[in-house]
Amino acid sequence: MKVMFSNISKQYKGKYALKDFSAKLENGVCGILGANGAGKTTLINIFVGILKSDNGHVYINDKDTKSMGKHFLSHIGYLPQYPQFYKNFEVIDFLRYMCVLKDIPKKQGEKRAKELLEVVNLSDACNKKIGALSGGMRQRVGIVQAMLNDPNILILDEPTAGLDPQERIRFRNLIAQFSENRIVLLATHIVSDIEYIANQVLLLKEGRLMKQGSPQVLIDGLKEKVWMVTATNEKMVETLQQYKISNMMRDHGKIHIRVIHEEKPDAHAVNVQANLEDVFLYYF
Amino acid sequence: MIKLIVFEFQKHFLKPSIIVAVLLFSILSIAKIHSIQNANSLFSSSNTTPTWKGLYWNLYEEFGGPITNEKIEKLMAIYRPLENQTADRTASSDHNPDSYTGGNIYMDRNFFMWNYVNPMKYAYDYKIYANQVVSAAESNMDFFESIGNTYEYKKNAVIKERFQERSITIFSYKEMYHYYVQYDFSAFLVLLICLYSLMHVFISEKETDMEMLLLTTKSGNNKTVFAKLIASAVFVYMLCSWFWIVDFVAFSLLFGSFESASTPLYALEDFVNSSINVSLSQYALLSGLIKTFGIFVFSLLFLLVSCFFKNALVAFIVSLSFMISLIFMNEVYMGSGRTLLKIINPFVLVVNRELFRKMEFVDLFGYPMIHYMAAILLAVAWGLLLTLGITVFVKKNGLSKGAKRHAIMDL
Amino acid sequence: MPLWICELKKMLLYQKGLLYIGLFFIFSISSMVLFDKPANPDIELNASQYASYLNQVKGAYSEETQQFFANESAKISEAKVKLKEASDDYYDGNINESEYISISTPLGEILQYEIGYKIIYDQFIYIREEPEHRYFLYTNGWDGLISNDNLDFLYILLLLVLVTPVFCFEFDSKMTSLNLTVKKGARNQAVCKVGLTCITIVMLCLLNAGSKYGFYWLKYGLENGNYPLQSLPYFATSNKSSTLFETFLWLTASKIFGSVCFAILIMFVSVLIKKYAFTLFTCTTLILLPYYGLPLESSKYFLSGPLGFMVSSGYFRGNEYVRNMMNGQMIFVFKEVSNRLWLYLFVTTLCLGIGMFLVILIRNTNKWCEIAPRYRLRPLHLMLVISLSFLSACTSSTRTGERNIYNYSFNQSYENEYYHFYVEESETIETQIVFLDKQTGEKQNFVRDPLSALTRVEKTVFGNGIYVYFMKYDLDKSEIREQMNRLSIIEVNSITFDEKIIFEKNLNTAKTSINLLKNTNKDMAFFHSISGFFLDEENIYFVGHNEIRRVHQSTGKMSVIIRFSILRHLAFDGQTIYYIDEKSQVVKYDTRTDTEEVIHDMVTQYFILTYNEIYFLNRKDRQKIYAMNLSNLTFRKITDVPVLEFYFDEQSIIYVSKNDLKQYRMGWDQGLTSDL
Repeated sequence: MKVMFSNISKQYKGKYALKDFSAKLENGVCGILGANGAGKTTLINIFVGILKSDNGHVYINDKDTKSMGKHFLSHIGYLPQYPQFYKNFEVIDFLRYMCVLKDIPKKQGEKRAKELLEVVNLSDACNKKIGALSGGMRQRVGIVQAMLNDPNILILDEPTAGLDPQERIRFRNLIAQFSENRIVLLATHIVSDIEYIANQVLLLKEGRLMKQGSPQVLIDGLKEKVWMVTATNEKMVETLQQYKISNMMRDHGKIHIRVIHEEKPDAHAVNVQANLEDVFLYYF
Repeated sequence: MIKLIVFEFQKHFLKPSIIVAVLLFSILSIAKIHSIQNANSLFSSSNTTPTWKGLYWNLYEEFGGPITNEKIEKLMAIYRPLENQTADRTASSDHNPDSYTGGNIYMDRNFFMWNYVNPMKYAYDYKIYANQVVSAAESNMDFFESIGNTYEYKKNAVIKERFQERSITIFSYKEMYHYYVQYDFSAFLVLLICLYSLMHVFISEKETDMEMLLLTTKSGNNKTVFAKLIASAVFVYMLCSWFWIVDFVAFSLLFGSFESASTPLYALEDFVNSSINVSLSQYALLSGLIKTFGIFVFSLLFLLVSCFFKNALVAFIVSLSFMISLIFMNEVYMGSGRTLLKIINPFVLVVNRELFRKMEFVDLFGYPMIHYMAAILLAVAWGLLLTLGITVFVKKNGLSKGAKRHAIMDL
Repeated sequence: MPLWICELKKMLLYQKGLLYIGLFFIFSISSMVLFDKPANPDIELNASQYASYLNQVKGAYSEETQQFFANESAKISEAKVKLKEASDDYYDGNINESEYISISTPLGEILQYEIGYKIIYDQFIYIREEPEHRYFLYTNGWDGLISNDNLDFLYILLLLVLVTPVFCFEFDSKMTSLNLTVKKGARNQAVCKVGLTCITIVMLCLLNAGSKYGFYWLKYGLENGNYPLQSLPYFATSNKSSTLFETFLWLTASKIFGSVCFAILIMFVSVLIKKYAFTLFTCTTLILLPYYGLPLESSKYFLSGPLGFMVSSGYFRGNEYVRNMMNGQMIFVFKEVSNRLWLYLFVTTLCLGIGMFLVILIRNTNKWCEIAPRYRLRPLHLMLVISLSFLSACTSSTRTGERNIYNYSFNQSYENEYYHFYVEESETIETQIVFLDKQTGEKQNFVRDPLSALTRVEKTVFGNGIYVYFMKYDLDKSEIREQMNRLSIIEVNSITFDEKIIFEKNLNTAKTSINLLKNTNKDMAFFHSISGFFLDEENIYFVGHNEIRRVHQSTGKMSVIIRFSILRHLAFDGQTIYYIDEKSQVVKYDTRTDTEEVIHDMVTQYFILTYNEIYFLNRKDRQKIYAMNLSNLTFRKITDVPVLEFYFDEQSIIYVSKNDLKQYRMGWDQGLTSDL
């Protein structure tokens, strides 16, 4: 499965939300990283067909989505940002309803829903009202509905926002589990989610694609650009003003500052291993 | 607190949809006033020829102002021959360009009868009528005192006091006020806007999940509720003021007159037994204030209803049903002598001519209270009760945010 | 499970549509059962008499019909004369009883139906104006079913509460984006939702029309559906050639179309606005404001959009005029909608509906599935366009325990322990009710309200112990012409002179604040013609020209209990009404059992009821005064001379002798007769 974005642009009131965005995606988890307002949701909305782009094309296996019409929709599974669903529906009823909307035969849909509920550990909650579920459980229902049609492309918009660490890890594992033989497009600004599971990362800034590559490639790009500086209180202020700081920690009266800079910021600075958070900070 | 009120006002009422609705409804109201003028005015093109208007204002210079015997004699010198000639309806109805109105003798008679003779006769006779009322009231006072009916005694004393010294000494053009005091359509429009605007005041907090957050802030409890109520009151006051001003100006301009501002209210024949001694302009102001208060009570009702629901759907339908039911009840009891049933409905404040055109009383522990006062007191009681309801239910809802609440709110 | 079943389940169960529909039908049917009043109450109140005539003339007007009415008029007039002659002959001893019975019985039967004849005669007058299109039929059923242009407010509420969530629920649940990305979501789902809503509305409309048809069929009967529409006076000037049943079908179809358009309008607005409150506000406004705000009753039918079609009866009405009292010209009160205009309105409304449907689809389309380029529709612009398009074209309080005698001929006076109340008529002062203090002899006004303007006190009083009742009309001077607003019966306690309203009837339903009460009362004429009244514990009895109507003080339920051709005299003792029938016999009507009994041998034109006796001018004995004891039914002669008229007070009977036309006073012991 291949997805190709070609020169996608979208303007709102004369301001570009997305400009000439082009990228190629292959099977695996593809994380879209970007600050708030970078264009992640716009890109996803254009991809799933909620928004219409001003320019550009999207190709799936070299086929223009415009020519695919409805068939395109059977390729995708989508979990929107902050889903609420129908609060007065029971989980199983909601999934049955989604099966109908996704044109999945009844028996097959029923079987699939039960399997997926098992996978996401929600079998016991299948008769609960959606309004009574916790945020994490609701997200899991969301991914179940997205997976009902066994899509080739799974699109998840900020799926872990607002979840507790345990739920987030559980959700991350689910994504990894579901990424076999399909493209998972994961838009988030929680870097650790991507760091652990993404095969590819797209860095979006102000509607433009800044960087694309595997997390390791991106991290390698910051080799010898991440430094640990030990400073006093007085020096800390100066350092904060001069450099991009990715972390700061007080220890026995001293302050350890993680600085991202092309050159060694201080004679006593020690070069340390970069991570994806440093990459995020470096580009934004 | 002021800042909180300003924020609440901005949040709920400074919306383009509300502003557009206000502007569109203002145009509708003006169109309605125009249709009233066109259908009823003695000078509208659909009823009479343009000559009437010109003739009226020409003669007005002569007959307007203080009513004197000379003016009456002069007027009757014109009118009597017309009346005599048309009495047996045998006079020619052919077009006569030399007639006063440029029509025929019947039109001339009607012109003088409707525009000058009848109104002037009413004004002239009013003093006699008022004196009759006073003497009847005095006689009643003696009578009721003799039979020991103190309630009726007091009632008549009030009537006597209100009718003493009443007279209409000035003849003025009152047609505009005649229809202005009967106009209610704009109140219906205002109520609709209030229904829409106020629906959000509490529901929006639930929709945006701000309700719980508000409860955790220092000013989030009673202060916010209070600020919302004050902001709503300010909104209702501003909205009403705008519509009442538009109404008044539209009536004045369309009827082509700002006359009669200082003429007493009882100069309108339908207000012959009016319970208040105010001028027409003062009445316009007073009526506007009372209408506004009535609409505010309705607004509190809408707010209270909205407290029980999580979205506007059922809240709107329930409020609309209440509104229509109360309007319907008011129409059933309009003009009724069953005063208490009439004034218990806050809508009576909205169509308040019913409170001022007649002198009616409510027995308040043996004391005869004029029914407009009782209606205002009852509306105040409704207002307090509704405010209390809002305070209690908003807080309660916030504190018991559980599954049970969902069952009700998700309707 | 097909999508439409899911959507239906969502609409009816999850969005509580079924509950709302159920509530609607409960309220709607119960309001019909409780509040429906016949369009012409006289027909119901005189059902059997009316039916007997109707059966003879039912159908088209013909020469025979005309002849029938001429004959029947003559027959009734003749019967009246013959009965009078027969009575005179009998009471004068010219014919014997069996002869009298054989003559009077058939004549009585003819006169029994006189009131029914009057009702059908009114219908005849109406029909003969345009005999080709107007047929004789029983109108109340069809009038109730189709002769009104009331907007069913409950139905509007139901549509709002049922249709608004169809799309708003999706927006509220933040499901729209998800729906757009599934195969059968987006356009499919929108089509399904719109289609399902429309089908539901059609079913609802049909059920509603069916329930109404069933109700009127059961209550009044809906016969002669094949008669022309113009047979109903409501459609008198209509130019449409349609039968009553066809009109009902057309109206139902029109209402279905209007309701579907309204439903599409609600969905359209909700898709644009996405919020419950603004959607509800906009749709309510678009329906209610033209309905209540437009000056002419017919104006709403000239607007494209759902309103006209939802009311729809106006499309079948013709031009109606009244004379403008200011310039004498005829002005429209209702303007006919021509077939061509109707077609135009239908097409424009249909186009608007289709347009709105397309917008709903466009707004619910996945962008990858879009076919044609489209113009961007801004919600506010659309709202303005739509707006412009719409704008283009009694408490039971009578005192018990005391029994008072009411004599109609004394209805201008009443006397109790303390006072004598009477109507004082003189040329110098206005007629008024006064009372005389029996102790002091002082005379005072009875109606003590000093504010006499805009009220008209009627010249009739009724008393029961210390409670004295009078009747007044409240007037309105908000227009050039004075109008009657309300009829009230006021109870006055003659000890304290406290007043209390015990009955009120609104006589001017056209005068309201925003005209919510649009129905017109057809029984107004009766309330303008009342010449007297009396009460018992529960009811008020109104005396009209040729009937007595009973109105329950609490429920307001009215019925005709007694009919007479000429009101000669009547009396009431608290339970029994005594009146004179067309044979000059006194009839007893028991108001508790609703039974009648003729008092034999009591033939008179005038009588006075007292507590124990009835004094009457005996027609059988040259109009001498007789008294009948009510307990043993024995007669005694009071005067030996024929009497023209008589009355009495506490001390004596005062009579005018027929012999010399002089007034005499006779003591109760009949011992003293003096010339006055």
